[in-house]
Amino acid sequence: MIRLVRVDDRLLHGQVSFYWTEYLNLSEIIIVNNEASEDDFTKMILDLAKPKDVKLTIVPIDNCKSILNQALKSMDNIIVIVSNLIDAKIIFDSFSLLKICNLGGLRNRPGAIQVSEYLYLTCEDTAVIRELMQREIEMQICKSPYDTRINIREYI
Amino acid sequence: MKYVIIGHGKYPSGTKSTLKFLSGADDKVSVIEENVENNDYQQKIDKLFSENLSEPIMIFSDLPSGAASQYAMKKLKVHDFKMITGFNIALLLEIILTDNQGENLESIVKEAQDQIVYVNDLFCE
Repeated sequence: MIRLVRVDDRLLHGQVSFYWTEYLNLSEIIIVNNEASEDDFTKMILDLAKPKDVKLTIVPIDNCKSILNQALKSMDNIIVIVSNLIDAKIIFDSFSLLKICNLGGLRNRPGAIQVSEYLYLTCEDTAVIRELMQREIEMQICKSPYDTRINIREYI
Repeated sequence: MKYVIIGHGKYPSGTKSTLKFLSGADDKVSVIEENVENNDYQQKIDKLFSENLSEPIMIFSDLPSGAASQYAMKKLKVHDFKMITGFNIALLLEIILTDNQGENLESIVKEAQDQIVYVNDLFCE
């Protein structure tokens, strides 16, 4: 089953590798990202970053439905990682069973306001977040599962 | 050769101080740290390459999974330099004390890996 969709513009790195794998007992991490899926070099680097016993699958956002359908039916613990909220919305639009969105990291960009040391949101981001919240999708703001959760309602 | 240590928290600068303590040699070593206050590792890594066009570079990173480490690895596609991830002090001492210019790195890595020893096993009959 897909435990959550994580939004992290660094995709897969230390925190995700160690903390989330242990906390959720993950068997598989699915990265849904056009740029990563098209570049063999990036795939190699991400493969180096993944935890040893976890399967890593990298697919483009334009062609992720069949992999995600399989993941939904699987008995294993799986997380999906995207690099931005637009891609996250595409996934939540296609899969109504997914109910948890983890905002794990978005860097500072023009027009963004700071929510925490690892999370900067633009107007477009907050619009997507509002829409997802209206569909009762839980927005978790934390880098690692052991962090204090931030209440998004204070910022949007 | 410009030696650069990339890593999380104070590990890079701590490592540099250890190298100074053990060998006196830390002036050839610079650091790029990834932590809560310093999240500009991308700019620092970009600057490393744009400002050192003639000097060869060797990068050491603490963990292959680190975001800064991954960013440096991507540079291998466009720049010619050496990179070792998951360094230990033994590795750095060997390379910096011998002023290694990028030769024999596979065997040096193997020897450094062998410095990670489960001591209890040494004493088991």
